[in-house]
Amino acid sequence: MHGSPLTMDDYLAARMISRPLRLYDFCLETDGACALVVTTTERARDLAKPPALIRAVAQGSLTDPQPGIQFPVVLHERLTTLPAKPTADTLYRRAGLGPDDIDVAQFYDCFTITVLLQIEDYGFCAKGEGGSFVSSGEIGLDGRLPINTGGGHLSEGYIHGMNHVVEGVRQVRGESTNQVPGAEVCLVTSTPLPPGSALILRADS
Amino acid sequence: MTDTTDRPRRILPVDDDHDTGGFWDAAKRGELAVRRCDGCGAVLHVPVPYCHECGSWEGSWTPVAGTGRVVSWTTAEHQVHPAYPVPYTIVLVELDDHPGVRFVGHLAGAPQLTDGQPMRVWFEQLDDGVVLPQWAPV
Repeated sequence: MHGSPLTMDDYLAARMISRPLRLYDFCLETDGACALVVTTTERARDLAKPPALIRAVAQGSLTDPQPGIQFPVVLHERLTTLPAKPTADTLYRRAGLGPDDIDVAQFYDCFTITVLLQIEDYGFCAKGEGGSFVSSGEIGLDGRLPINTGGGHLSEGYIHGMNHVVEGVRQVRGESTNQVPGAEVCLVTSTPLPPGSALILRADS
Repeated sequence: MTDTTDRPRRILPVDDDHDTGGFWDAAKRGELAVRRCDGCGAVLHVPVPYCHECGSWEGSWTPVAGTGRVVSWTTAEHQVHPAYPVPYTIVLVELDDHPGVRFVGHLAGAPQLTDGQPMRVWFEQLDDGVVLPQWAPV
């Protein structure tokens, strides 16, 4: 949606889909593709572009996993805690890093609410404070945690999370169109349900 | 067979499946039932044949009280299927006698609901003899 700014009035004027979510709370529908080359650090350093190093990866699910897509949502104890929470715990432990070390993040944004819940689950604010964290401007380019700098699923295209990985690579290479100055560590998350997964990319410095 | 009415057909569940048929049989008797493990008594919801607590493959359908509390809800305003005119409200109900066991219900329109509101099951007669447990505010 480059070149098509969305104002709050535009947002509130859009039709309701599933209360309280309106049209622009839903991601785009997109045909597209992304490609990634994963290789050893040694080989990557011989290629034309600087490598983005994979600091850690993790996958997690909530307790009592159930088959299907809907029931993991309706049965787990707290609807506002996603599998992002156990994923985050594992990811940070493996990386030896924490929320304060993340310079920029790409959150899986099939819906706006999904982003708010993940900001909380990944520890950038307390549970229930995702809304005020976002509305205070902290997710902007000059905020505490710039997110979805490529536009994400809500604004760039719904490529099922792969475009988030590509944008994460661009950020730690310093070549994003919305570059966060000096960004060296990028969190990238994938679909939060039924299980979740995520990775941390870092610059080869 | 041709449907001679113009009424859009509701989507019908498969009610004779090996693993879930007992739920629909109970509904035809006017009972809400959950699957319980015969080995350890664990409630297996959503119903599955294998008990993840004790490993038993033996289970039975047990009637429950059919009362519960609203856990969450949303009102759909985007028309998807012609048999389900908008607005309608999708409600998530947790059973009083089995906390953690939740059912999804469909309410016409956009009723005023509150968190924890008491709900009671009722049984909707659908086509082909199918009976669907539904929920209504008490």
